[in-house]
Order: sequence, then C-alpha cells, then structure tokens
Amino acid sequence: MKVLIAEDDKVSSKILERNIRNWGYKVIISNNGQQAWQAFQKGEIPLAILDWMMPKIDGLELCQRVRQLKKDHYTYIILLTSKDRKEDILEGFRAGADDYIVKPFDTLELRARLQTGKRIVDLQNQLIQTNLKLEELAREDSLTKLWNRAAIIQLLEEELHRSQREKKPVGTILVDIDYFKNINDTYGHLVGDTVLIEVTARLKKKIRCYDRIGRYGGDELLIVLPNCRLDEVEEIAERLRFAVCQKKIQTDMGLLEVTLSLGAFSSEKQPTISAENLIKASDNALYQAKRMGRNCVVINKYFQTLTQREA
Amino acid sequence: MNELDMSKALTPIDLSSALERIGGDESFLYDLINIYTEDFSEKYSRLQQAVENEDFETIRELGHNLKGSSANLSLIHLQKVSYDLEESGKDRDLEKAQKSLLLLDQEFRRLQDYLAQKNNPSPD
Repeated sequence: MKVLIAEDDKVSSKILERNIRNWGYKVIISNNGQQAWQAFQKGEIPLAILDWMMPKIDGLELCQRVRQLKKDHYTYIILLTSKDRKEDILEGFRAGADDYIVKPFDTLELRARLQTGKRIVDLQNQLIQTNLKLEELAREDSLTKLWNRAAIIQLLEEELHRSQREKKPVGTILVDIDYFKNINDTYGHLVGDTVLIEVTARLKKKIRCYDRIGRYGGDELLIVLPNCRLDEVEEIAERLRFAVCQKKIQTDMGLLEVTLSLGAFSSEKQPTISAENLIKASDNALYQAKRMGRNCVVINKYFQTLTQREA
Repeated sequence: MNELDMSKALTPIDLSSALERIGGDESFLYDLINIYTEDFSEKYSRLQQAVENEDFETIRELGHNLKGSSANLSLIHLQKVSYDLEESGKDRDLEKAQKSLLLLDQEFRRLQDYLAQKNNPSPD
C-alpha cells in the first residue's frame, strides 16, 4: 500500500521514509505541501502522513483540500505535529484528519497507527467494491423495465441450478432487433427507444408467465425459459418473431417495420451446461439467424450434435 | 551548578533513544546527523539574518523547524535552545533571541566536538 509523506524537515522525512519502507509500504516523498498536493491530484493515495507545519500549504490546509477532492477512494490522513495542545489536535480532526502523531514520534506507535490506517482503507475499499457490485446488480434496466444484464445472467444461473436439481431443461433465446443501428441512425435515438420499448412489450405478452426477459446488450434481449425443451423453445421463439413482424410499430416518425432475429437453445440434452455456454450457444444461433437473412429463428444445432455424441 | 553547567555535563545526543527511533542502525544515524548538519548551517545563517532584521516570524518558524529535527535525533540541548528561539520569536523578545542564537551555536559546536571525538577517540 502506498504512503505519501509530506514533511519539509529532512531528518524527519528520512526517518519516516526508512521506517515505513521497511514495514513494506511504498513511499512517496514530498518536501512541501505544494508537491504533496500535486501528488494527491495525480493518483490514488490511500495513506498520507502530513506534517502540520510546512511553508505555503501546511498540513492542515492540505488535509482540507484532500477532503474536498471528489475521489472514489479514501485517503487516511495522519497529521504529524510537534504541537500537542488539545485545541490544535481538535482543529486537525475538524480539518479531516483521521489521526495524529506528535513529534518526535515513537516508531512502534507510528507503525501501529499506520496499520490502523491500512485497516480502515481496506474496509473502505471493500465498501466501495460492494457498492459497485450492488449498483451493477440494481436489477432493472431503466429504459425497458426489463431485468438488466447482470440480473438476467444471475437469474439464468439460479434457474439452471434449480433445473439441474429437478432434472428439467432450461431454454434461452437471444433476441436481436434487425437493423436497429439503422433505425437509430436514420430516425434518432428517441425513435430507437420507442421501438425497443414496443418490442419488449410485445415479447412480454407472448412469453409464459414464468419466463424472464433481460436486456443483454444494446438491442439484444435474453430470455430465460424454465422447463423448456428444444422444440418448445423453438416454438416460443417463432411466436415472438411473428408478434413483432406481423404489425408495424407506431413511432413519432411514422409506422416502422421491425423484425427480429432469434437464436435459441435448450439444456435439454446437455443438462450440466454452464450459463455462459447456454448463452454462447444461443449467441451462435443468433449469428446464424443473421447470416440467413434475418427475421428468422435458428436453433443451435452444433451443441445439439455435441450433446448427442457425448450421450 | 546552574542550568548551563548542567547541560555541559550531559552529552549533546541521547544516543540510545535516537538509535531506538531508527531501529538501531548506527550508520543510518550518522547519515541523518550529516543531513542535520547541512541543514543546520543553512538555517543558522538565515537565523542570524532574521535576528539582525528583527524578523520574529522567521525566527519562530526556523526555531520550530530546528526543534523538530533536533528532537528526532534526540539532540536534547539543541532541541531545548531551538524551543527557546521559537518562543522568543513568538514573544518578539529580541534579547532572548540573541541569547538563544548564541547558545544554539555553542550547542552545535559541542555536538560536532562530541562526534569528532567519538570517531577519533584519543589514544589514552
């Protein structure tokens, strides 16, 4: 873990550097507040030891500035001071310091305080990671109100586990709106959004109540179909294709003819398949559907034959 | 025995506490003392200037700095005199500043003598 030292006293700086390096930290040295401030703006600094008394920018001001920086990581700040008056220490804490140490510092104490700092930074990082994960897992796609990518993949994984236990197949369909990029480019993103919303609405009506739809990519939708054999998944996919192409979609730019390409697969003959490979198999099929001229359904035959051979 | 005689009776550096602070590495301690010495000379001439100009803010600041680095090396007397200098700056006390500056020089020489003797001990 990196430690920034901002200390204008050379002797103290050297002692700090030597000790902290020996304890296994990476050390960045600043001889004054200005230098330290540049370092703070440049990169991630999890731990900082700032001398209180420095010319131009002192430790206290540095502390305040660091706290005002909008950063996605935390900097644990230890103020180094030869003052031990209570009001100074309080002022330091008010400026945003996490801890302080009085010069001349005791080496063992400094080490222990750094360890505390490292522990806090580690906790903070864990928290940030968890928040990111939660954000990613916030499960709804805001435009289509479908499950978002992370959520639909997780649902597929859960469904796969359950189905494997119950020895039932899981079907997956990857749906792609044909020439969706052209729609966006020609009529604008708002029309593109309308199309996406109408398509998802029609799909929702045609799937079974226990099937799940998620937004897998920009205009790619992933449908998870519990207890669905290959022939069944094909039948549903065909129903979905027809539901979209049979009737033009009303947009601000008039009626648009929209078609779908669909790639489908089922774990029917390959019960131990992973979620990732299920999606891959559907994706291969989708690719075939695109190559066959779009507005069609393709069931992945490759995985089918593979399964038969294995069986 | 007055205060000054007392301080003369003591060594200028508390070696054991200084060494403890840096993990017992004696050669590193001498590196640090060299850094201190260089730094001291520069600060001392600035202090002389400041006392001449009655620039109390600079006296306070430099006194404070020297106090810190002296303390880090357990240079107990230099630390004390630096503290007096800092205080004289704070109190805008010219007489005290002049007196402390003189003592600072004395204490620094004492440190140098002590180190020289330690490196080249006399044959007896």
